[in-house]
Amino acid sequence: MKFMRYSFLLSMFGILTFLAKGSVSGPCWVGWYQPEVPKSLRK
Amino acid sequence: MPGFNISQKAADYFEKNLNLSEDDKEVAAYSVDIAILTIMPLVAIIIAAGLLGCLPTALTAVLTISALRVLSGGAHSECPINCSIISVALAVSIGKASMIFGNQIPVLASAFFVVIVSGISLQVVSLLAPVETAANPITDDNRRQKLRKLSLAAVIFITVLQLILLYVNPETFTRYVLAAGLGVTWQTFSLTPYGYKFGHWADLILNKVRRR
Repeated sequence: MKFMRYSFLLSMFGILTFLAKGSVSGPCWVGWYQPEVPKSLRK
Repeated sequence: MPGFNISQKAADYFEKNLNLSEDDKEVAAYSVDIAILTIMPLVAIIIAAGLLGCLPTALTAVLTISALRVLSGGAHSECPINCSIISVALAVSIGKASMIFGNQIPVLASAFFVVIVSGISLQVVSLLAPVETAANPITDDNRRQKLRKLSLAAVIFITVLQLILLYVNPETFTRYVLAAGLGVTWQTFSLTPYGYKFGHWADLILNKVRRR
């Protein structure tokens, strides 16, 4: 059960990180509000 | 500007269970922020446009604006709620206008509109894009050049697609072509200083209304 939860959280974190990296490929996110981009993702 | 509370809580949960570093925790919080900022206005647009009977054209406008915006940047709102209100109002207005006027405009006039919008947009994009924000500054000049070229390519791609659709089946596609054209017009406007002034003005009004 612990392994399942760990795997699920790891997958979720992977997907979210992918989304975050994709979002900083341009100068802004698609909406009308741009949250502050984490320093580690800035290009 | 701080993110949503739920993003911080989600990031804390990830950190606790996956032993994340501070950098990774920040990325997790940011990614939950942008997921919420995508889902919240999109759901609101789908509901509002669905109720007003203009869902396909509103989504066409959203898709066009988003495709250009992610490459060229533009004016921003100062908080997520204002962002959602502006996005919904804009998408629904363009969607409804396209549904009403889409079938009343002659094909030749639609094609003329597409070419004029494209010409103005290419000029503005080549001069101003990418318009960065303080929250995501562009420090690399190569990246700036690349984004400008990609923005120009996106405008050309959308224009060619609009003209093909008008040629293939004008009766069906004129309303979608009009929605995409108005989307390009809006996104081009948001790159200009006037777009920034409008964003600031919209923020002031929405903040006043929300405080009442």
